[in-house]
Amino acid sequence: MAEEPLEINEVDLLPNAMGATVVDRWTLSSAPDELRAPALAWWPVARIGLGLVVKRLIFKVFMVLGLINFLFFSAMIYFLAGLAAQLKGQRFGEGPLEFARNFIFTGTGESYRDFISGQNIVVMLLLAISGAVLVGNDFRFRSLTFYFSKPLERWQYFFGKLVATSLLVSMLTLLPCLALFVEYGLFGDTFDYFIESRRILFGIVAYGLLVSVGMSILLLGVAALLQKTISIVMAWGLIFIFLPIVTEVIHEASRGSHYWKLLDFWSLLQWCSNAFFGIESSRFSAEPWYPIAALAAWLGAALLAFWRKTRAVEVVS
Amino acid sequence: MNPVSIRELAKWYGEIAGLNKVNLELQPGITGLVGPNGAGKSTLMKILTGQLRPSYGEALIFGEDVWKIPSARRRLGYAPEGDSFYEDMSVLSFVRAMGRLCGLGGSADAFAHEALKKTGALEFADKRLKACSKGMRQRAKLAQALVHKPDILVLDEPLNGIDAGGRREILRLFEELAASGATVIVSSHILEEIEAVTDQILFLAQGNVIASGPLAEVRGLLKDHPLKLLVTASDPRRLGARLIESGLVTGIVFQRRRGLKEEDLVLSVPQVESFYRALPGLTRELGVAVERLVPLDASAEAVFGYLVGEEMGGGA
Repeated sequence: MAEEPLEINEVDLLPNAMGATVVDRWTLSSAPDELRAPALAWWPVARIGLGLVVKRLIFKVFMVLGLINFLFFSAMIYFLAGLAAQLKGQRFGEGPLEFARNFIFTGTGESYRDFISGQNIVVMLLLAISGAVLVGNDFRFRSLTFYFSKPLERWQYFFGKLVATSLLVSMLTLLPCLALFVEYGLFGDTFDYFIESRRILFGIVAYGLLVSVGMSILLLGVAALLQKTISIVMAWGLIFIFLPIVTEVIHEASRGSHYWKLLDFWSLLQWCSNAFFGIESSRFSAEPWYPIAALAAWLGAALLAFWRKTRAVEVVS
Repeated sequence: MNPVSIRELAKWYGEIAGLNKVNLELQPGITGLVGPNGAGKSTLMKILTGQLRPSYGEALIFGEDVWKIPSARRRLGYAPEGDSFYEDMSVLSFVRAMGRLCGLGGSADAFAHEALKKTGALEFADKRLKACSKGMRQRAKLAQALVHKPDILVLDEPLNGIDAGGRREILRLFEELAASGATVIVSSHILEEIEAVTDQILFLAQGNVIASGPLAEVRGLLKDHPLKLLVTASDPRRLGARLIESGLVTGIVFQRRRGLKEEDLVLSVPQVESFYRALPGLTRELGVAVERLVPLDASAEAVFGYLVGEEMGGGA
């Protein structure tokens, strides 16, 4: 529909301008105490990001999937505790109980590691689908102009997005794993489990944080670079499905050379988890600094990609 | 201290100059930013809002470098030309979120409501952005720029997509803000809009500020382009002859009114003030009545045309 031409009648404008009902001063000086400290400017960014994902159906679907796994483990701990109480004192009770514990949930570092590793699959899928909403669309549709014209530094934008993504991942990994740890300890005969298992607690927190922060940084880099959901899903598939297969094949073909495994992000996470929980593993026995350097390279590349893309906002075509 | 100070500001994109050593001091009130595409308007606005790093020089907001000190942007509200944001958000959520980004905490909701009311967007506050018309989105964008009650507003094409009535309302809002002490910088392709609310205009071309100040003053400085005045008088021929004789005009064109015998005069006036001072005496002396006196090329558009060396015509 054609727009009407603008007609400005000065006589129309004057009474309103002169009427000056706008004496309520429209300036910041009226509300200086309302403002948050500049150092916390990242928090609204995180809040916006979380709000965008949490409201989506796909997030609820993946949360339910993650919860199913958690509820299964939680129910097993409860079941084992009940079984232990019933078999207590019986002549042949210890044997079946030990068998059930070893088969279902041992309460050792391996069991928590395996729980988080199992959740990682759900996390991977969730992040692949949410990457565009969380980060990609800001670049694709030039929404960054709304962020960067506010009192916000680029690192605060990055940190806000990182916090949002990490919290989402933690909801599926670290937090339920901590809940399992507490549940397992509470159902024991004494609370000694909490004291004796400090290394396990450290492992849960360290591995949970590494998964949350590491995968979030990787997502920020990939999403900033590729932006569209389909591209992010493809890249994610390349990193988490294709590369592990290829490196495994090469690993076998090269008579067990572990260096190829450094290309596999999953293997790197697995190595770190073993180190955090103090688990011996022969599966990946390179020098310790190799996987650390490889992980740092992955995350460094993602950070660089993100940083370059935010700098590229400056380029005006 | 001036709200906006720009010193030796330059921005280079490779070998292309986006801005070329611009110096400016802006006072509270409305300032219009005028220039064709590629003139440097967007670059200037982006530097002024801390989105672009200058290649040289600095942009200061109340004395603070807007690039180096992000907190300086708290006193600044910006409405970009593009309006892409999270389409699933409601207008209220969008404005509230922007308020939080500016540092508002628990009061963000109240401030968002106030800004939406100011811009006439309250009635569709719960509507999702993707369901909003262009005009609604413009109002939402204005509201997010106003939400934290900034001292300086930078608005890129704020009237695009808004109907005539809506434009009038928004222009009134700009005047209200300016009256309350805010510095409002508006860019628009439609020069009449800017002229309607301010005569403080900044002309940009090829990365340079080619003129700035009140429109009449800028027009007066264009000595090579005498002001063209349309005069309707009871005896145009006699008045024309006397004006030529007095040296007040350097050229006259007689223009017959459509379908009528009467003629109008189109005068070329080099010294406008002298002309206006002398005209009443001359008409009295000749006994000629002047019915109409209209400047033909004093508009921002015509002035801009002269400034960039493009003859705009003007009906003469």
